[in-house]
Amino acid sequence: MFIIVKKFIVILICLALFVGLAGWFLRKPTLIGSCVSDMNNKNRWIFFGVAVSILSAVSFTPLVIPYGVAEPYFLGLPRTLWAGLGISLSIYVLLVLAMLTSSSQE
Amino acid sequence: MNRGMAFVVVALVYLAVLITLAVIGNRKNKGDEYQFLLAGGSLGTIIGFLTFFATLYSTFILIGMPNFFRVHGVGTWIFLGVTDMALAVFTLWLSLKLRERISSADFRGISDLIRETFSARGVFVYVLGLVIFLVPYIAIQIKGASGILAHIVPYEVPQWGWAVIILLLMYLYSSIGGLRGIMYCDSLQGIVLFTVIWIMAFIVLDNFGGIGKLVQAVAEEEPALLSAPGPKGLLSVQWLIAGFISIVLLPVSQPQLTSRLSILKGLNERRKIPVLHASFTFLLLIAGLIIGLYGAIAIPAKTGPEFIGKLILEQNPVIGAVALIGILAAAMSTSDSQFFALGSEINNALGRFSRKLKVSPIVFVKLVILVFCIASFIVAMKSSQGIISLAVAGFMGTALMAPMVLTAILCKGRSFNSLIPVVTVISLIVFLLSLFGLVPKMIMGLRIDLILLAINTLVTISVVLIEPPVEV
Repeated sequence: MFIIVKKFIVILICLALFVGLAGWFLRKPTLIGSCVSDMNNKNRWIFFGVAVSILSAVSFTPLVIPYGVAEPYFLGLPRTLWAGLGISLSIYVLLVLAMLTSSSQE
Repeated sequence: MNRGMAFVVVALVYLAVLITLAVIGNRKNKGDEYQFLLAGGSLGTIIGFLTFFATLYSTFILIGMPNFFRVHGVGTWIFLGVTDMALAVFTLWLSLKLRERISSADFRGISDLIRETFSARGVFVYVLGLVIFLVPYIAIQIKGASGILAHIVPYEVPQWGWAVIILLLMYLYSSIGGLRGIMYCDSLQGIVLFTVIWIMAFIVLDNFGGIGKLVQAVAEEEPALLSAPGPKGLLSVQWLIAGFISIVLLPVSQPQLTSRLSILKGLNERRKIPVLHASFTFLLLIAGLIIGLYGAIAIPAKTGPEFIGKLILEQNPVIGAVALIGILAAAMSTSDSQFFALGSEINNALGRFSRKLKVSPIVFVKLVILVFCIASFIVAMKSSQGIISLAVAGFMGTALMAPMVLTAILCKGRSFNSLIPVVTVISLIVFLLSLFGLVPKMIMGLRIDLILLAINTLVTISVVLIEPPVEV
């Protein structure tokens, strides 16, 4: 029990460090961020809307959910899982980008 | 320490903290109506994120989500993982739009915006839809949580007894602390929910030696879990699309979420909360995936509550007790907010009526919450297959109102005739009839809920584009 709690606390500390570092890094201006923030407000949201819609739509196609097929495996994970994780992370990156560029012109 | 004693100790500590938070909320409200109903309209980042997180994730996330992975396999990630990230993007956009729309302290609820745009008819449709779909949803949650508690806690308290305890507690801290008290309690419940699910996932992972080995074991036992549509064939493309739409629209179709986004303090809070939400949701879903895959191999069970019950009984008594409190927290954190939102919106809708009765809005909201607590208890204890269908379809039901609500948010300073509310109410009626088997659930190979939402959206867009702008 004590070992489990200790490991859990270590994981929480790592998580907090990761979130802190990511937050610090994201405050710095990035190349993609500056490109997107050059768009006007309406176009920027159209860009994010279309990008998220396309990524979500792809997740409903046989590219991600082929009927009854688990191969190819990647890092020990079946296709639907690694592809789904990849799409989720891509949408997450878009979200962060939308957040970073939504300050100046809103 | 035995299981019963551990539960009593953890539960007492938890109760004491909940009531303390409600009392702190009450002191900050100072008896003011605006403070009680809308927490002063200045929600910060941390409390804002935690309350949004806890309110969105009900018992489904603690019981249903791991069980979904267990029964339907990795395709569940598309249903929840992809969908929740898209929900966060939608939340960011919506919260910024709400900031443009709500500029005065006169804002009391979404029904105000609907009244401005569609007159009282729109408000009637909105409140009716909320009552029809939210009450069964809350009732089923109470039933699920009380069932697990009655099954696992080693004291002779019947299921109805646990349901009464949960509802009483919720009523107590909601009526003491108002929205502020609820949000403080939600914050604690969000932390408990996240911690519990990760402790269980961590123990599972530690026993198994990594997620790769877990997947390998699943491939040997039940390979159909590693692809869509899963062993039961549920996760079809249409099902996933319907799930995607109904979940992504939650911030606009569920008043407890829309009201939280409406009262955020400033731009920074509106930008940070969706990102925080997405980050923690991602971690939450990973934990659910781990627990679910473990359950598929190691815990044979017929239902979600049975599976979670067995999983809790496998744990050390203290962790088991914390997990039980997590279930209690998950059930309460969503239901309290839904009750309060229902109370506030009905107070807005019947504002003139309560003024005629010379009852203060605070007392009126408390009365409405009490009525819904009693109604939910009766529905939970008498639930039939029809009620369960209503609860399960609750998200899609409220999503049918999303085009109307979005129009009210986006079309500032314009008013429309009754066509949109009329089409919305017709779609709600047809959807209800389909749930009770009186209208086919599929038409020409397409789900009726998707067809209704498409018609609703098309009519709404047409009205907005065609109808000449009328300044309010």
